[in-house]
Amino acid sequence: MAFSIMGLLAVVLEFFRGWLWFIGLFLLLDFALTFYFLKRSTGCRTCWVLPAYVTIGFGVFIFILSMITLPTITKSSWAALSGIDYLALIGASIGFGALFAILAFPFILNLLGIRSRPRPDNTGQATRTETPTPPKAPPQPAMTEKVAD
Amino acid sequence: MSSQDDKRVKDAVDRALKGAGLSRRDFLKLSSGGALLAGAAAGTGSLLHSPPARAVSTNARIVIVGAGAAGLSCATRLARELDGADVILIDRRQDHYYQPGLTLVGTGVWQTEKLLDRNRRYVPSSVNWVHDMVIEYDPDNNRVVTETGQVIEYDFLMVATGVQVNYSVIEGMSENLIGHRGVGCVYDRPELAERTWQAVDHFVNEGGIGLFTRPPGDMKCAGAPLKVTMLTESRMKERGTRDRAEMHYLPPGTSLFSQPHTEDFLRRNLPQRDIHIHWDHPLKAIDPDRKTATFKTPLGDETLDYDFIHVVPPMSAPDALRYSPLAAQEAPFRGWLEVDRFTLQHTRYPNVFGAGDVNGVPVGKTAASVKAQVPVAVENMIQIIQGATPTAAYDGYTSCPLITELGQAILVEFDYDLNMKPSFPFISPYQEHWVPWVMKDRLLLAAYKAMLRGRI
Ligand SMILES: Cc1cc2nc3c(=O)[nH]c(=O)nc-3n(C[C@H](O)[C@H](O)[C@H](O)COP(=O)(O)OP(=O)(O)OC[C@H]3O[C@@H](n4cnc5c(N)ncnc54)[C@H](O)[C@@H]3O)c2cc1C
Repeated sequence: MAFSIMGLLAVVLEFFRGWLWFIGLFLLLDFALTFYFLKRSTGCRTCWVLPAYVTIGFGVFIFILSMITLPTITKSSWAALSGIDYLALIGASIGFGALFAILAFPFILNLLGIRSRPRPDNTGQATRTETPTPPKAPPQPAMTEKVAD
Repeated sequence: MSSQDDKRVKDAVDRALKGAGLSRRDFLKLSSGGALLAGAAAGTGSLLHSPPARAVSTNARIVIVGAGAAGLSCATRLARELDGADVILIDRRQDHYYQPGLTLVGTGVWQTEKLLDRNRRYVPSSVNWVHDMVIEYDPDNNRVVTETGQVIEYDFLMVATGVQVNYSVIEGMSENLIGHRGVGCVYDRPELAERTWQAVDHFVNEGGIGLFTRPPGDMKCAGAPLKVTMLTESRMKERGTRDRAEMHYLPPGTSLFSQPHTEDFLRRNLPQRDIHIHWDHPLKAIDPDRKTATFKTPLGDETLDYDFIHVVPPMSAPDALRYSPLAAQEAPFRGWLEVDRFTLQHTRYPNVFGAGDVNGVPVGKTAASVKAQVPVAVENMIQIIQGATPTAAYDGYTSCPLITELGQAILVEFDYDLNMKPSFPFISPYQEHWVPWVMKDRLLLAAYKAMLRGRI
């Protein structure tokens, strides 16, 4: 019996129906965090590489966790798997890994994505470097500084 | 279709149109306009609250008897696809339970709560739900009579009453025995399946002699007695108690399953697991005090002891239908709703259709068949309402996720010709796999609910 794409979507929708409010809330939080990050990062030195690596690492962790635990979570065991089951297990684990990584990215970005804060008197580093540096005054021995004997 | 039949349909159509103040020509114009609009609407429909794609304008009065899997699914589809129809759903039952999960409750895989639902959640607001039971069908006068004495007339009738489980056919058996004295049966309500699990659990721990029966005649989900047998055996292996038990499977004839490849598999698999097959053993009586069961074999009655027995009583169409003019009068479907196996239209009363277990068709008393039958029955009924000839055809599709072990199943799907019809060609219908188990355990309930909402 053929299932249409809309049919499959309808089944997925029914599967998650009880959780839709939670998923919606989580997605909202993700959007809010992404927006917050973009706002916060104006004028800051941002770093995307580290959060990306951490997110990928997290996704890989979930992938491995899924590979190991999915058969047991589904009240089955590794011994019950054969042929196509391994492909399905890998596919499902990749899916879970990717899903969790995408969901976690805004959090990780906020935690690790900002390298340095702007100075209070400057708007950004680029402006600061362009500001002509005042001529250096000759070094004065500090009042408390000991003069070498 | 005879000319008398034609006339009956035409009369029903004309009555419906006249009530709406339309001529047949107006009606056809409106219908094609409606169809165009429906096409446009379908593109923008959202899944959560899909706006009805109103296709056909009519004020026909449609009565659906039975609010189970098929009845609800028909109601949602008819409510969506007809504009102005008076759709009446008759069923006293308020609770809805997911019957394909009964096997899992009966073997301790699921908790009962997972099966429970309410019909109210699925009945569309435009459908008039009559909380009553039909006790009489009067198709010559296009009406049904309910238990409380209401006479409800119709232009078109959809019969979806499912089956009736006949405990009394087995001497000594009653519903009250389930869960006590080693008697189990998963073919009734969820609480009885839960009580069955108590009996199965005890047997799995203590061992003894286990008898697993199957009734003669048509029944819903013919795979369920096998699943209960194999899951019980699997539980014993899991708990390390398999050597404490002697297990027997007793079919009423000389076959285990209608699909030949699956039959071959089972003929190999059961003996490998030390489950003894006793051919031609329909259950005749049980004596719960002495814990014996009597089987009517070709060689005479045979009485066997048991510590646990899974009783599957014979099934029939509900009495109200079975003894009505709508029932087939002749074998092989005597007592079942007499429909054309392809169009699902009644063969003598063309304004009557059937969906689900009640239909007298060669295979297909499963929820999977309901999924395939409902769109056909509904489409054909709408074609008749429009004055056209029914063209949609049901190919006999049925499916059984045959659970062989905890964590493994074979997804068996086939049609009237008993040819395999896999929905997902990459899943072999000949081998045990984990994927069909996951589908049965996790996904099919969602698919069932989508079906009740008329989305698949
Ligand atoms: C133990 C078990 C395991 C199963 N396993 C599977 C499976 O794995 N896969 C699968 O696809 N299917 C399975 N099924 C079968 C599936 O559940 C049924 O085929 C399906 O529910 C049939 O739907 P239906 O609407 O025809 O009947 P039902 O869902 O039984 O509904 C019939 C409705 O009609 C009502 N009714 C009856 N008489 C009257 C009357 N006179 N007036 C008004 N209302 C009336 C009843 O109250 C009921 O609500 C299983 C069934 C059982 C019992």
